[in-house]
Amino acid sequence: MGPLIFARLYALKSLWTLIGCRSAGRALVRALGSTDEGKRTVAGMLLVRGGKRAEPLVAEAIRRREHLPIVVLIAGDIGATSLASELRHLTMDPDPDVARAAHDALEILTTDQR
Amino acid sequence: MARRDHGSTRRSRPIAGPAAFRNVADPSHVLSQAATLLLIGAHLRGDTEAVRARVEASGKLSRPVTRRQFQAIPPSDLSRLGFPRLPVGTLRLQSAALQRVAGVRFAAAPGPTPSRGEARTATAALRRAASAFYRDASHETAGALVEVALRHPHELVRVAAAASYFLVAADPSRAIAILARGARNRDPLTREVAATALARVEPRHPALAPLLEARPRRSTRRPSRTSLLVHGTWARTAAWWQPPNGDFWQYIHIDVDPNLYGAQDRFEWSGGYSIAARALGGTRLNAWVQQHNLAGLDLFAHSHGGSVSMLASQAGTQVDRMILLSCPVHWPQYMPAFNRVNRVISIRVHLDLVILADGGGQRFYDPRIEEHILPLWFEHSLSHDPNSWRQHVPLAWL
Repeated sequence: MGPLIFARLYALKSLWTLIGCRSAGRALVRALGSTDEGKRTVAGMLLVRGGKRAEPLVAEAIRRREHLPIVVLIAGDIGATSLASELRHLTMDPDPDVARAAHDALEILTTDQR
Repeated sequence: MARRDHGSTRRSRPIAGPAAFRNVADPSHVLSQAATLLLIGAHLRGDTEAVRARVEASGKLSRPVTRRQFQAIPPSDLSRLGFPRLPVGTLRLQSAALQRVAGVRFAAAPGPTPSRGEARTATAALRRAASAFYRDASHETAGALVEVALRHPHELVRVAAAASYFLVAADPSRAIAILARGARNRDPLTREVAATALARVEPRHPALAPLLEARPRRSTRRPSRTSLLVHGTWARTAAWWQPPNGDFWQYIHIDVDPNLYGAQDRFEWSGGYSIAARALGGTRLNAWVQQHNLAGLDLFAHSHGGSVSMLASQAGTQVDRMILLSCPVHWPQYMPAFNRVNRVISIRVHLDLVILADGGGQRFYDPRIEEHILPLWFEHSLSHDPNSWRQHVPLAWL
């Protein structure tokens, strides 16, 4: 990931958080599927930094099964208690990576609440 | 309500089809009902597909296995139980809709134990629901059978129904109370089925705590000299660190330390991007090192895997060399316990963009940490790239 991509991700984050541009938020979610590890990681970090604002985007991505292992963990990281029942369903997901991530997300949620 | 110890029912035989649901007390009938209800969950969840995918992915098969050849549940067993074909997938319905399909109406949501009246009504409705399911196996008829079985007089059957309820009901939370009670049952079979199902959906449920109490047994082996890779944020499934084929794992194993840990039970953490996720990771790493009796090991830790390693050292893990790769600096939140770490070596690139996004510092300033900055820029992943190591990391640094 070069500086241009980095700047673009930050621009998307600003559009999303400052003026509520949801499509910019969705573009960050899409970046979670990048083959570029750095781009993926920064996009995820920016979403987590969005906190509760990221909840609808994460819920939408879970519903569409987009980039599931990462998105599921992000749900835990942002403390999305409203998605707990979805996470519980995902603990039984046929994809073992998704099921494991859902377990971890629930554990993170519980730890965060204590 | 009937309570039986299924240790005495080892001679039970499967009862096929709807006949299994004609008796709610006989052990063979009860076990066949419980098996049928659990199979409903397994089929809807697609367990067979998932197991096949895992086996294929493991590369442990000598030749490709066709769908017909590979069955997680032997077809002969399914046939003995008369279990019908049921499509994979979930269609979750409200409880009232499931009761309508079953032709029954319960006044209240199911509690952990049914009232006498509920159990009587359920017993009568069970036959009808089972007949409908075997006549036309669908998500609706399967869901209706599971809904009715939640009020079954026998706890094992209630637990089996609750385990599958998450796949058929829009609001499965009521099943948790049934599983929680089942996890305390004196009958080991009921207890284990309940605890396993509960752990899948609510791993931190208090009912599981007595079953999860750690009884750590320290290994009696002599400590061995080894090292371990610790991945960073969202990298749990990344290929580079996975033994035995990950490129960085191979590089370290071949060129740096032949004792690099590579067994299947290697350490991993969630990779979550939160303080809680790292705290859990640090605790787990400490427990993992104690259980494996590997005190004094070397840790190669990337990104926030370094934070996890530092937390583990604070929790008590003795480390010989802690090699931090592109580790964001959050001092003093994450710092090594210097009295438990022999050497700390940090290797990173210039102006790491991921660390910039993380908000962490780009370098350590504590003189007890040996800081090495590679002549490379921006890329967070370059510090676990074998080519970067070959060209820019003299082994004398370590």
